Amino acid sequence: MGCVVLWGQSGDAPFDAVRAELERRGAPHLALVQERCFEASCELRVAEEVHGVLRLPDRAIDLDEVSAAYPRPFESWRVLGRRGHAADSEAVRRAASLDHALWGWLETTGALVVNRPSAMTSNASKPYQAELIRAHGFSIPDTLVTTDPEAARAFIARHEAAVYKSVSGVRSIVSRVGQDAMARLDDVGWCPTQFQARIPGVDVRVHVVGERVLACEIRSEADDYRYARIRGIAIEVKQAELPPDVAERCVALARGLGLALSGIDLRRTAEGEWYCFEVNPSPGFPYYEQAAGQPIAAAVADLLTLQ
Amino acid sequence: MNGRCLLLFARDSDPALELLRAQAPGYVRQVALADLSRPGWRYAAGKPDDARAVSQGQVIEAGDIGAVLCRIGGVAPAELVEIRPVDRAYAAAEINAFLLAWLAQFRGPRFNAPTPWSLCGPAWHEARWTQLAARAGLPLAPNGNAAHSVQATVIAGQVFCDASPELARHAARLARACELAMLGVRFEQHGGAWRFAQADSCPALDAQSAAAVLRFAAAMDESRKWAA
Repeated sequence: MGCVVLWGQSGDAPFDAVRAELERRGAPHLALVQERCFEASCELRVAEEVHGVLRLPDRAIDLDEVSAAYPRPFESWRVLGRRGHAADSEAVRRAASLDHALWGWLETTGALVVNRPSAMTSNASKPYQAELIRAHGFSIPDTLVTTDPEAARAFIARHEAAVYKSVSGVRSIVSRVGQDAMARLDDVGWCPTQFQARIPGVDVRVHVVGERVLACEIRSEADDYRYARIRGIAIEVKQAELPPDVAERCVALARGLGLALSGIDLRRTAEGEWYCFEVNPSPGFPYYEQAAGQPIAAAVADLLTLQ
Repeated sequence: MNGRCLLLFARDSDPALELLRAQAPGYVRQVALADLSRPGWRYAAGKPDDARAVSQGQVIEAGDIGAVLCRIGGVAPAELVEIRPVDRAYAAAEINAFLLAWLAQFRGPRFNAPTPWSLCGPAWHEARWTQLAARAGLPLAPNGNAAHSVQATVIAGQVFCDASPELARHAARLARACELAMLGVRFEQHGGAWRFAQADSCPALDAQSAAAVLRFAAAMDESRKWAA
């Protein structure tokens, strides 16, 4: 087993959880924390294969010795900005240079990358990703994205209930179309807005780690369970078992999107149909790990160290 | 031509816009930045025939679009001058996400498929382009300043290049390896030899390559009509 490189911000729950699990096992790893990343540098030599060296103040690592990587970086200028480094400072410039080299390495290395940058982008557009999801055998809600208020009205009228949410990866609260939204419908003219048929059912969050499937069931009356607690709505999260064919579809979907780790949002209807809403390529799994008692960080550590 | 248009997503400042329009004035219809925040766009999941676009303020139905060429890699917030400044960052993210889905769903000839990083096609990290070029057998440029550089433009397998036939073969090989209908490949001269330096899925066009774009779009649309 080679060295595992972690890249992210300390205080970020998934990063800390995987790091703690590797430390607990005594697995050789390097945690490249972004708060101090201006102290590091990386040189790459790219041809048919990529080689290089990652230099830190106290050590240098031959990138050929790295067997796996778990990147969860935030924008360096923001991370350093919060620590008082100006956007035009030498620290930010060095961090940007390191970021550029590491992104290039992550995209081209033969090591296991959980996940590669190019695989982490499909959820930048929810309807784009939804078509990839549908191709893997899941149902997706009837969806219209439009700048045409009349088309939006017709779509809403066709469905018993509809919701609206962002088209992009910008986090938004899924909201039911009510009277307030109907009164503002002409506003869609200036910006594409996504409408979906509301699918009643039980939410199931699935984490796929390599070939392992860890599912939990979420019961809440909230339209968007992620915001249930903030809104004072009850929420219950518990471990769940998926039917084997659904679990297989989840693994195939994650593999098809090039993701070694993913968080898949499903909903099971009363009729037993499985809808998939989104695949998160960099899931914040500790919430589910704690709420449902699932060993997700351990599964990620297994994946990273079994190379 | 069969009455359908080539929908060209292009900024007003893109020289390719005039080159293409001059050669096929009735066929080329521009989607300008201002069109992206106008009423009329539609994307319906799984129903590509229900799609609609907006060109110069006019709504165009999917059935009237013969081919699509996107030369806008992504919209920046500052470009959405018709939207309130406070809303521009959100609107840009939403418009880019919408266009990615819209372009990916379009069933006709589209040159390069859009990607989440660029609506024009892949916008890979330079390390990945270099690796792909090396694996396709192209000689790589070393670090350092080059004496000269030249671009080869690949349009549907046809290469437009003022340098040597060898560079044309290299460029065609890289486009084939990347499965791209449109690709610009920049070569640099180091020590008298031309070597791969960079690639671009939205290359500058000249009159010849623009004509090839129009021929390819029309031919592909025609074959689609016969296949239907």
